[in-house]
Amino acid sequence: MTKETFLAKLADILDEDTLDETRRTDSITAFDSMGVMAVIVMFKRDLQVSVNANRLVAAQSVGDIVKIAADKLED
Amino acid sequence: MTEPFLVGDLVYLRPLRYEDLDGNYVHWLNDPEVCRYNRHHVLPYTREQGEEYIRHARSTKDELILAIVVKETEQHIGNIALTNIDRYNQRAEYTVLIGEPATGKKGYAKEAAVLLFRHGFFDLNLRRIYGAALEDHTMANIAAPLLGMKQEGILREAIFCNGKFNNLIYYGILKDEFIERYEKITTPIA
Repeated sequence: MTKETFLAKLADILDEDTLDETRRTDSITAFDSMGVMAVIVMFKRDLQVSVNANRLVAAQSVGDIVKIAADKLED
Repeated sequence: MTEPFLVGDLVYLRPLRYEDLDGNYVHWLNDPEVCRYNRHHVLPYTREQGEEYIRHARSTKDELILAIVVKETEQHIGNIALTNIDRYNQRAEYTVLIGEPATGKKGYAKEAAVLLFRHGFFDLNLRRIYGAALEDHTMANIAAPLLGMKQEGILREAIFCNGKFNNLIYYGILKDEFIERYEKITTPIA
């Protein structure tokens, strides 16, 4: 999966038209407990990665979430 | 909006009203799913108990108990409160009950909590707001740190719920931490 595809999937899950890496997570309305759970499911389903919720909660920006997925994203 | 007390972009908080009992309110407290991680649904909750609770909520000066209402639809989705208000030590306990299930990913509960915390810190002059969640309650244990609350301790096997004794995890946020998180102008992270 490319970074662009990942960002598009993330945006879809979090009910945003688009997301870029500079976007603060606290400005994303859907990034609540249910949203975090949905992102955990996406990581598992699409990247086969188990993410601890605490890592996502600590993400201040979308870029921080991309970093968690970095090893599984294509260049 | 009816009797708005604290108003946000998505929700407003208002005193509970007797008319709320005509909605799903009593049903929430008899719904095992809604009550999976709290101590309701042990004995039946009746309309009369609801009336008594609303009478208390509307008159007490020791607790702040409010309904969470979606602005767009006027739907009462849950209740939120500051209880155990300790004016000497400037602290209070935060509790929330979301009764309507289809309210996730909407930001309602988060905005309601921020409205309540802001009122607690800037109008009730609190210094610290704390709350607790059962260890098994995944959503609450995600929601608390998302609000900026820090884990402060664990009461081991403190609550009997869902057939076993559960650990109770305590979270807290200080006024300075709230200001740092919510009252400063934020810019995109470069």
